[in-house]
Amino acid sequence: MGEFIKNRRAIFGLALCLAAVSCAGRAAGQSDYTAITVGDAGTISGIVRWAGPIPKIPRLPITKNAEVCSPDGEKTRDLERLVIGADGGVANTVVYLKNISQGKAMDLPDAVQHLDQKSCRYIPHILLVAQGTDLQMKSSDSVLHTIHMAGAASNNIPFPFQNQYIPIAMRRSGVVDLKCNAGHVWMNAEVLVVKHPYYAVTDNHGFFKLTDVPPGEYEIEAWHEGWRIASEQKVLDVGSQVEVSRPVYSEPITWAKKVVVRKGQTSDVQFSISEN
Amino acid sequence: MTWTRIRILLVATAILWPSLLSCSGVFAQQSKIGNLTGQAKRGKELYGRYCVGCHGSRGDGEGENAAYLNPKPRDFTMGLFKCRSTPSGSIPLDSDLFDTVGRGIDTTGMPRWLPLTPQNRADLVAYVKTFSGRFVEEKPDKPVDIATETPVTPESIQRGSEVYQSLKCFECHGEKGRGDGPSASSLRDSKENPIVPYDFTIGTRFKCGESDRDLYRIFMTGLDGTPMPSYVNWVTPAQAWDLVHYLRTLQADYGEKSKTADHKGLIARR
Ligand code: HEC
Ligand code: HEC
Repeated sequence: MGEFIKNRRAIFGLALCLAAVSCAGRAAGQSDYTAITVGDAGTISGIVRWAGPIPKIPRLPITKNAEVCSPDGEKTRDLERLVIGADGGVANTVVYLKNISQGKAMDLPDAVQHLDQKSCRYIPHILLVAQGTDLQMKSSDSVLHTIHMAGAASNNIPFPFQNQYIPIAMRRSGVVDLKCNAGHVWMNAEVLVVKHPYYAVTDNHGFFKLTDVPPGEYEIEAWHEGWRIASEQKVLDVGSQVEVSRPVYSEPITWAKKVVVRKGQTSDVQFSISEN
Repeated sequence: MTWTRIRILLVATAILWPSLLSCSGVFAQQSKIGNLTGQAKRGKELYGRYCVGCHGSRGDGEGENAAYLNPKPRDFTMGLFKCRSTPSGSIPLDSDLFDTVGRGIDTTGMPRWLPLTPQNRADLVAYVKTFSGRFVEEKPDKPVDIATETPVTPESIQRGSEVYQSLKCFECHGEKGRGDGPSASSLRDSKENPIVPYDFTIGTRFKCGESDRDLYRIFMTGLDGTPMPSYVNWVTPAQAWDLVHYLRTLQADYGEKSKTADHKGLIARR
């Protein structure tokens, strides 16, 4: 009998492993979420802080369309892959509840579902879009941009004209990397296509808040895009005769915690994230 | 004891089964092209004979000949296809894949598989689809409409050249369509391999067909997995035809040249 249990564990484990492997590449997420009327809800809030020495944050030279891309005359552009405030708060971290099966209806703010391309920068840098709804994209710039998606979406949309929104339905959940193929190799942003509304992007102080959470115990996770440049490919831009490199970023990192939510109360969760 | 083992296995399989079904796409076993139904089981055998050397046994493009090819054989596990009648971001129709296999991809290592019967090709399509979960999880979007062609006139060609300018095709393809635009050198495909914009002046066949309708479809849907974007949101059907007429004039002696051009293109791109 003892052996039976051991075997059973082993085989179940194997089954789970295989299931995990066969699903790898699919978005980390969950299968079902039901919107209900949330009565006695609680709130989760907190701060994501940087711990340890602040890594050197890479910048790239503005090699193209400087008149549009660099209205202030800056020569290089921050890639915005890691934005740490003076108070140590880490911006652009996505904090969310894992495996929540029911709660409030989708209410992601408009601002995180609308993307602008302005001065050759994606604004905002991190977007949240509910699965099955549209990401709205436009360009404020007079030069060509293209938004080339990779990951949970593969659309490739040019923006030859200014100020016209193009909606693209985000069908699969998961992470979508954005890049521009019109020579602006520094442009980068991430879209998270999500199945439930309990997602928040930290502000410049690392602050986040999840509201209307049904009471209970949850796993809460902080997700940050990779900030290291994993590899770079140098090429010569024929137009400007400047060497440009298209950076490839390291993998995103997550940190998980447990949180208990009580009705009418605010639960505090602090994340401390670091280089390793 | 053995009986318990069997029971354990059964339970484990029962757990495993749905996840395999929903995730790996092993069960997207068919293709439908007109009256033809392709079966992955038969396709697998053909694939082992004709495709594995380039696309690899896992469909990841890592076949033994891959090292010698540029562009690389397609990694089917990514589920990204250049030649589609569907909009950017959508999986292709079975008939798109079927057409590609028969047409081959000029200027690349991908041969025209005309010696294979239509049934063979349908079976291959069914098998190629099993490498990506996208064909299980997603449905193709409605194909992009191709309007009836407008007359080829000097005015249409002139308007087309204005469309080429305003849509900024020259950013990648260059002012004269030589594939040498200011952004050309920074381009990468979805596997981070360098990729060059099409050079219209060489006059080789396009990767995704050669007719005017093919050309119309190519820039309307874009070539997924490459920097070539989809323009369906930005032009009217009439403007799209004007653009087609103009692009044909870039292919200098299109028609005459195309007889030898396939060969030239191959050399130019290696
Ligand atoms: C000699 C090498 C070679 C062989 C053999 C080969 N292919 Fe390919 N195939 C390629 C290359 C290279 C590409 C990518 C071309 C490109 O991306 O421009 C490709 C691309 C494809 C594509 C993607 C088309 C698209 O729309 O993006 C399909 C589908 C395909 N091959 C099917 C097959 C099938 C089926 C077989 C076997 C009958 C086969 N190939 C055999 C080299 C090969
Ligand atoms: C951001 C760069 C970029 C822009 C802008 C761009 N293209 Fe392309 N285009 C490419 C690349 C790269 C390829 C080659 C893809 C390949 O070989 O797989 C290509 C290929 C093509 C092809 C050949 C497709 C085939 O089947 O072989 C056509 C036709 C084309 N482009 C037309 C256009 C037109 C028309 C425009 C403007 C409306 C345009 N392109 C704008 C990058 C671009």
